[in-house]
Formats: sequence, structure tokens, C-alpha cells
Amino acid sequence: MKTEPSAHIVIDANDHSSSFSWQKIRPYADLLRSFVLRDWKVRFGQTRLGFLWMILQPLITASLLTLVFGLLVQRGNAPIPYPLFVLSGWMGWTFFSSASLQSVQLIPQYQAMMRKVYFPKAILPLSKLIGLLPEFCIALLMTLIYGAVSGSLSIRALSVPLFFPLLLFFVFGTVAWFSALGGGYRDIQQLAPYTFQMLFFLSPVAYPFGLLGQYLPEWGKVLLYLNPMAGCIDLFRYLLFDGFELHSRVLWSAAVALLLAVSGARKFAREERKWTEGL
Amino acid sequence: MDRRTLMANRNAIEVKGLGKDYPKAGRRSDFFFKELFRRPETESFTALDGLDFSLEEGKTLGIVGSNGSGKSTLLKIFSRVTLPSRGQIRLNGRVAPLLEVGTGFHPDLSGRDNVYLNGSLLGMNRREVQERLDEIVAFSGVEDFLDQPVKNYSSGMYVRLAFAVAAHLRAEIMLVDEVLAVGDLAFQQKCLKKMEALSQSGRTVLLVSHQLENLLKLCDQALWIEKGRQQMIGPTEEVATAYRRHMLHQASEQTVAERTDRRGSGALRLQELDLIGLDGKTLDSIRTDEPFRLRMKIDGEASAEDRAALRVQLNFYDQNERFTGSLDSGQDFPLPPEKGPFSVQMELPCCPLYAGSYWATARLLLDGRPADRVESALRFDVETGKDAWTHRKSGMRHSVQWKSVKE
Repeated sequence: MKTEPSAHIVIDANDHSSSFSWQKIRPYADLLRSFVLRDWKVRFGQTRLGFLWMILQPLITASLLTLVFGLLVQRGNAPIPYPLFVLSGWMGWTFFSSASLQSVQLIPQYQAMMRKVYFPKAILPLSKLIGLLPEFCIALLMTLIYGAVSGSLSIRALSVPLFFPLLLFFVFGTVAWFSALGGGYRDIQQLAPYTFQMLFFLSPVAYPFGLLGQYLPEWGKVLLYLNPMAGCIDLFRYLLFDGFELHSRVLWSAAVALLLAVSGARKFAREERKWTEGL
Repeated sequence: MDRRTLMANRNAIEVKGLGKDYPKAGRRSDFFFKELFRRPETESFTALDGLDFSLEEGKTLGIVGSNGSGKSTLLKIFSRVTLPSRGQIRLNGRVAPLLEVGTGFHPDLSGRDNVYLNGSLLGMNRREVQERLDEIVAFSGVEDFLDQPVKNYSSGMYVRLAFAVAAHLRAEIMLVDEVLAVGDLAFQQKCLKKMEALSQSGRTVLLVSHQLENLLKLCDQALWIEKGRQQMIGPTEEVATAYRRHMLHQASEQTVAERTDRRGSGALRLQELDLIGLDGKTLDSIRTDEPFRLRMKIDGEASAEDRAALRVQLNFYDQNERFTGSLDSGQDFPLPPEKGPFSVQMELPCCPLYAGSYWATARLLLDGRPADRVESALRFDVETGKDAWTHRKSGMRHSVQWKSVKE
């Protein structure tokens, strides 16, 4: 009857290990996939246009932002068309903000389930990350196509994967933090939307930092790059298009992203055991 | 058969010094700032302590204990939902909880999608679910609706599909809670049969139950826990007998008047609750075909001068703690004209309950507010009389004569 050796499980009171471990997640790879598929089916399954929305959403946002900000931003010496500029910034931004916003409600949403059945909690934030990857890839593809068509693409575009680790570390960090805090403090749900609104304006999505930078001292500029989104977007535009420069300040962004990822995973591990403690 | 004898000496489960504390504050405050300025409560209460036992592979262990004794906590630890505070459990084999059916079902997804989701939640991979899909669907009987969202299912269909997934799990150790036997009677029988088949297929089963009959039927061994401590472990019959004796002893230790575990304002207090035969003698058991009276002696501060409305309620529970019926005086039952003890009597032409053992919980309400409540104030047996069938057919509503008498 048995086809594979049975698992040996030890439940120990002194086991304080995090669920962000390959050993714990691997047997639940199928559940991770189920969570991702479930999210997609719930989001797109009942819409008429279905997965077409993944393409429509970047188009709509890019057009909207172009309409609004395009009038405000000087276009005289811009190296690339403004809609392309917006799209290339928005792509990373929306991946970050959707993933983080959704993860705020992640734990309350799954709390009933985790009080009944065990699964490694780490697959929840991971499912959000993975679930949003197709949209990110579609937006990336659209940016590349637009860039190629408008002739703005640099030869450096071949090295665009260099930018993925930075973005992924950053988004993983915020997702881990927001889901960890969202589990214990419902206040985060109220606070999060404002945080993202503020961050949006503090990120070079719709306008280049050069615009803001001319009024700021050096420490002010460093401050701006403590927001890893700034570094992500700068690096991405630099890799993709000619006419953008990369300042060493981006390293600040990378440092913060790394710090967020490590501390987020630790915070999550410390919080996760509390979510199932209710009687 | 061979397999069972071969494996007989290997332990599927080993529990050593297991204990669990819960913080007394219960859930953490939802208010961030409150927590910033106040230290979290460190007080805790012990739900389980010092559990030590092991179970051989292929055996079925029943777990008994009164409400709040820690049975569910133990299952939660076994299913790894919550971590123990002390001790260790070693499990040889995969563990699958059958205790919560339908967990993870999403209303917007089709039955088929939910089967996959639920299967993976319970530790099956996609291939394993695929192999069992036909079996699962056949067992649940929802073939025609498999591709519809489960929000369109009737609650019966929903539960049947959920149980079907859980019952076809492939795990060496199964955790079962009795509430599992769900749905209509026919499906309940099917569930019980499936559980029997599970325990006979060489799997190790942990079964939590209030129904001693089921335990006796299904389990090789039983574990009795009381107030979080291991009271007894051994052959099911021995444990069941000891547990039953303990339960009866507990209830008969105190008279109603001595009971302090009451709830309510205390404006009235139940002193006695008795069953009385036509000849005026107190009864321990009643027959379904004979008239009898229920008498409650009540003492307290309230009287007719308060212009308060009294309401008396008795709820009946069978030995499995299932609610089986109630007697209700309705609003505006007259209070005695003066303060002091009085009694309330009800006369019933026959007993509308099936044969078995019952508990009655008494509630006294003044103007709709609880004045007194005594759980399990009365225990009695019902025996089948000659004409049990005829009067049961006449319906469950019985006219009852209520009257209040000054003592």
C-alpha cells in the first residue's frame, strides 16, 4: 500500500524554526500552487475579459498617468517618450504595491484555515509574490516592446535580469513585514493605503528624481533612495534605456532592500506562532 | 493481516511530557497603541500537562474527557496547528486531520478546483488527488455539479464533498473528531463505515468522541484526559467504564442546592429539581407511556410585588450532549404573592423522549434576564413503555400543565 517511505515528524516544544525553510515548504509545493491558482481564478475567473485584464491594467494606468502627469513634467530634453517613462516606472511599483497591500490582509484572511490545518505559513506571502509575477512579466514585456518600437531600447537591456534580485528582495521584505504585522495589528490595514500613496509620490514613477533633486541637498537625495523603490526604478531605467545615469546612491536602496528582506523573514517567523494560539 | 502483525511492534506515536499553556489574556489586543504602552499579560493557564503515551502502528486510540479537558488542544497539537509548550511528539508517518471538513473551500471555485485545493491542504499532491478524484466524486455523490462553484451547492452537498476529500486522504496517521459524522442519517452511516474501514486498513487513528458506543466499536485503546492531565490509558472497555463511573459520580456528588457553578443575577435560586410519579414518590427513571410531574423548588427575593415576569425553562440533553428538547413556561408565569420559597410543577401526560439517559439544564428568567442557571441539574433515564410508538406519532408538542405552589 505504501509506495514511498513514510515521513517522520517530530513536534517539539523547543522547535523555534521559521517556516521560511526549504525543508518545510517543499512538501507543500502543491498547496502553494493551489493558493496561487485559487487567487487567479477568484480574481479573473468571474470577469468577462478574464486574464486579458493583466494586459489592460498596465495600459489603462500608463494612459491615465500620462494624461495627468504628462502635462506637468517638462518634456523638452526627455530621453524617452513620457508614456514609456511612466510604464517603466509603474511596472515595478505596481508589483510592489499590489503584493504589499494584499499581504496586509493575508493573515486575517487565512486565520480560520490555519487554526484548523497545519501548513507552513511562509507559503502565504510567497503565494502573493508568485501570483503577481505574470502581471509583472506582461508589463515588462509591454515595456520592452514599446521601448523597441520607439527605438529607445539600449543594448544594456540584455542585462535587465540584473534588476530582478533587487526588486524581489525588496518586495519579499515588505510582503513579509506587512503580512507579519497585519496578523497581529489590524491597524496596519487602515494605515497601509496612506503609506503607499505617500511612497508613490516619493518614488520616481511619474516624474524623474532629477526634477526634485535640484532642490535637495545631498543628504536629502540619500534619504529619497532609502526607499528601495527609487533604486529599483532607477536601475531598471538605466539598464533599459539610453540617456539615464546611475548614481551610487542606488546602493542605499539595495542595502535597505536586503535589510527589509532579512528582518521581514525574522519578524514573520516570530509572529507566525501567535496566529494559531487562540482557543 | 500480515502487515498488521509484522508492524505490530513499531510505535506510530510517541508522546513525552507533553504540555500546553495558553496566555490567559486570550487573544492579543487589536489595538496597536494599547500594546505599545502596556506589557503583554504573562499569566497563562495550563490546557495540557504531563501527557506520556505511545500507540502502536495500526491501532485506533479513542480520546475521552469532559468538555474543556483538553481533547481538542491535544488534536490541535497533533495536527501541528498549535505548538506544544513542553515536551515532544514523534510521529512515524504522515498525519492527516479529518477533524475539520471543508476547510479551505472557496465559494467561488468549482467543486473540482476545491477538491484539488483541499487535497493539497491536507498534504496530497496533485497526482494523488487526480488518482482519487473519481472515487472522491463517487463517494460524495455530486458528479453533476462538479464544475459549478460550490457557493451554489446545498449545505449537504458541500459537506459531503468535503468529507469525501478528507476520507480519501493517504496518510498513515489519521486524526478524527466525532463531529465529523455529518449530513443526513444515510451519509452519517457512510462516514462511520468509512472510519471503520480506515482503522481496519492498518492505519493509525486518533479519535476524539463523546459517544462511548462509537469508541467501544472503533477503538483498541482509549485515553482519558481530565483537566488537561492524563487520567488513564488502556483497553477501551476499561477506560470507558472508569470514565462513565466518574461522570455519574460527579453529577451525584452535589445536590442542586449545593451547586455553586451557577450563572445569573441570583434573584432566584433553584433549590431542587425532581421527577415525581403519580404516587408522589421521586423517580430516577420515567416510562414513555406514563404521566409524571416535574417539580422545581425555588427560593429567592422576587415575588409578585416586584411586578416581574418569571419564565422557567428546562433544556434536555441526551448522553451525547445533544440538545433534545425543552419545556418552557412561556412569559408571565406567576410569581408567588410573597417572598420566600415556592415550587413550580409541570404535569406531563407522557414522556416525549426516546429511551436513554438525559440531563436537564434549568433556567430561571426574570423579565427576560437570567436569574439563575444550573447546568445538568437533573439526570434521569427514560425507558420505553408499551405505547411508545403511538404517542410519538402524535407529534412532539405536548400540552403541559404548569402551576406555582407556595411552599
